[in-house]
Amino acid sequence: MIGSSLSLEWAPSPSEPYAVSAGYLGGQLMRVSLGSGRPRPSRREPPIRPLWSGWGARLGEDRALRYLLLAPTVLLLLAFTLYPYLYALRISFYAFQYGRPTVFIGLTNYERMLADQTFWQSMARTLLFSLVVVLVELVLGLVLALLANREIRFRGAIRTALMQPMVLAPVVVAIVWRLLYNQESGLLNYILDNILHLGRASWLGDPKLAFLSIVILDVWQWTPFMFLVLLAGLQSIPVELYEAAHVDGATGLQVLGYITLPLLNPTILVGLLVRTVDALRMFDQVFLLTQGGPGTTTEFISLFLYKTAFKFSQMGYASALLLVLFVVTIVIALFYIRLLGRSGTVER
Amino acid sequence: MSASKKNDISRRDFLRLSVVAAGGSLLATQCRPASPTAPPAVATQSAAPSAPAAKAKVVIAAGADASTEPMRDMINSGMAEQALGFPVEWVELPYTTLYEKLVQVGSSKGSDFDLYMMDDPWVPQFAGGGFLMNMTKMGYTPGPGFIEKTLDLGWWPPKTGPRVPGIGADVQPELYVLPIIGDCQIFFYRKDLLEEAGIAPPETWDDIIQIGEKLAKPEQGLYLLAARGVRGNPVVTEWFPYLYSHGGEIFDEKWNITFHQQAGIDALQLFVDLLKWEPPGVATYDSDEQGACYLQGNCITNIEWTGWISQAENPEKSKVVGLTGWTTTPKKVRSASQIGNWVMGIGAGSKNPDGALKFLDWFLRDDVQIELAKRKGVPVKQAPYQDKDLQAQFPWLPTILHALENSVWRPRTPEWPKVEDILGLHLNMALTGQEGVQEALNNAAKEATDYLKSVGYYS
Repeated sequence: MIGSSLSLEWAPSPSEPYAVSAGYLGGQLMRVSLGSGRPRPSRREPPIRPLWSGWGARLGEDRALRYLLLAPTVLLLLAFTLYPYLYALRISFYAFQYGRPTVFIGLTNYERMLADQTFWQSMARTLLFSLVVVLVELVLGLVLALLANREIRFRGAIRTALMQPMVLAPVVVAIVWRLLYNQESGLLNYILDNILHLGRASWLGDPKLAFLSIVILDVWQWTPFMFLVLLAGLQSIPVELYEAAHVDGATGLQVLGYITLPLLNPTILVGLLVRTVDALRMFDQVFLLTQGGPGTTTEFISLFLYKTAFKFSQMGYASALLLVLFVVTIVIALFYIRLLGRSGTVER
Repeated sequence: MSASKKNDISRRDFLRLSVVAAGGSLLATQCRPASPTAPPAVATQSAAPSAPAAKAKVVIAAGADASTEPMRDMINSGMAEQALGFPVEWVELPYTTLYEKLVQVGSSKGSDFDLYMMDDPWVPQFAGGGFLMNMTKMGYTPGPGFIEKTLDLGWWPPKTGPRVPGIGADVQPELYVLPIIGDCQIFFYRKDLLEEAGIAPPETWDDIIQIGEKLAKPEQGLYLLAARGVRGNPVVTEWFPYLYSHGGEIFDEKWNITFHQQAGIDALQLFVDLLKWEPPGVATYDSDEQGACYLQGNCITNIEWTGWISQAENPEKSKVVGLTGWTTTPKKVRSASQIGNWVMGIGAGSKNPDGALKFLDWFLRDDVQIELAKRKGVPVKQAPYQDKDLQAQFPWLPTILHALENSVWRPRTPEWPKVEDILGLHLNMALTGQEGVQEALNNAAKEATDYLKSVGYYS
């Protein structure tokens, strides 16, 4: 039984936080590194010497210099990331609208947000959208990665082709899909009507279909990202584990369940983290395809925020919305990072 | 603790230093003029602009639009530079980007652009927000010969109509912008098809329904018209001539919502009823799809902006060259289209306001306006419209003049974009069947009223 001969256990130690006890092979417990698939050098090995020597090497060891070298980047980050958020925090306490006197109103913008149905609906819609697209992209990306990881003909060409949607600008993708979805002359309706004889669908105009249409577009564009990340993860799994499983007579499903998925787990979480944060700020495609319509069926929080800030010029309220969205994103990111920590890829 | 360790900066020290640095930069920026407490309700531009830069160029932030193309071509051909003696640079941006960029530059009194090209409903925000120089205080008086409706767009507070809270009747209107392109809605129709069927050019909504009954064949891809039905500004703009032609209005003189009254209900019912002769999916149509329907010969009529004339007569873009007739938008109790002029004002941070004013003065000369009309542009002065030769050469000119003189501007309040968004949402829901006609208008009226109350109206 594979279960008795092959087990997975993560036992981080200060010296080897990435090490995973991954299998029973020939009576010896084998340890692998998730990062490169190669064992990490032990601390007893001599340190790698820098290419330079003399006073430069001494300086290189100086912690002050390290911080000094980091300082420009950190200061730039503070200026362009922290400062805007602090400024937004300040504005969120004001009724700040061009063309009207600016007045300090305390927490009124936040109170208004709590009572604003549009805010709650667009936030719920955004979370639902993120959940759906990320899960579909994960499943499709995993299937494609498993297929592309095999020794098949034209593997390089297939991988390149699969990645094409991801390298296109979202605006270009939106314009192309707007043509594809066109009720009169779009390719999708041509296939539905002329080939499958199912009639034409109002992809973007039907309240029941518009949300799905945006999901399809997003899945088309971003499944390749998930595919790429998972493929890289698959290739870092040592082939010896599969050989051991093969020797032990494991079935394909058992290999998937006991080796591939557990070892791919950290990679999956990284993919989920990146895509969830990305999906939360979905904007370009909706802006170009539906403007949030029909009705409010595709009005996501980023579009609502954009309109509040740049169309209605309510900078104070928009800043409050921005900060809440920021907090939601941070909470979701922390959730994933916590899971990653549990799965052993992040030092805690 | 070792000696070397003692001299190190700890991680905590480093973070502490960073926060101090960030706090310092934050404090420093509080002295900026663009702090939240800065913008006044009404601009108080000082009397005279700074010293003129004789040969300094004038930079125009312009909208990328079919209606602005003739003006762009005139400037890029060097006409302006030749006449004025200094270069004029045309920086073209898509509509939405233009608005965002101008808000950004205007609110910080940036000097990126000397002249702002704006859609006329932006005037309350831009003039009221202090983004523009006050032309009255610069000593500028517009000359004669303007189409009055177009020039009226340039004053803040507006010369007629209700005023926003905080601006009393005693505040004198002052000039902030000048009209540049006299864009407004007119009605396009296929004169070849109508003549063939023995139908006279349409004047009323009943005529339009008659054309629908006799000529439209949706099952064969020939439609009566195509509405811009996508939510927000497009669907409101499209519905505007329906509402006003039925005698309705958006607001009364006290900013009370009136679009949900009987005239509005009749107008929206008609708007929805015409869907049976329109392409499926117009609830997602914006101007590109709407224009394409007409240019490809699939729509018999359309409410279009004057900028589309040059497109309809361009053989590279249109299958209906020479087949179009033009008239004013259909009437019920009156014909009233929406005016949507491009206007131009001088940026508050302009380094060359004198040059900018000279450019405006030049572009609004009668002879230059005639040249604009010859390039299928839409002038804002009377001279080109009165020219008999031009009328013969460009048969749409009398229609445009009539439409401009009877047009209606959008409400003069910085809150209009929000009210428009609310109304646009519910009009779109009526088009897609998510709400009934009366329900949609009542919901929009309630939400808009609640919103206006929350920002100080009606108190």
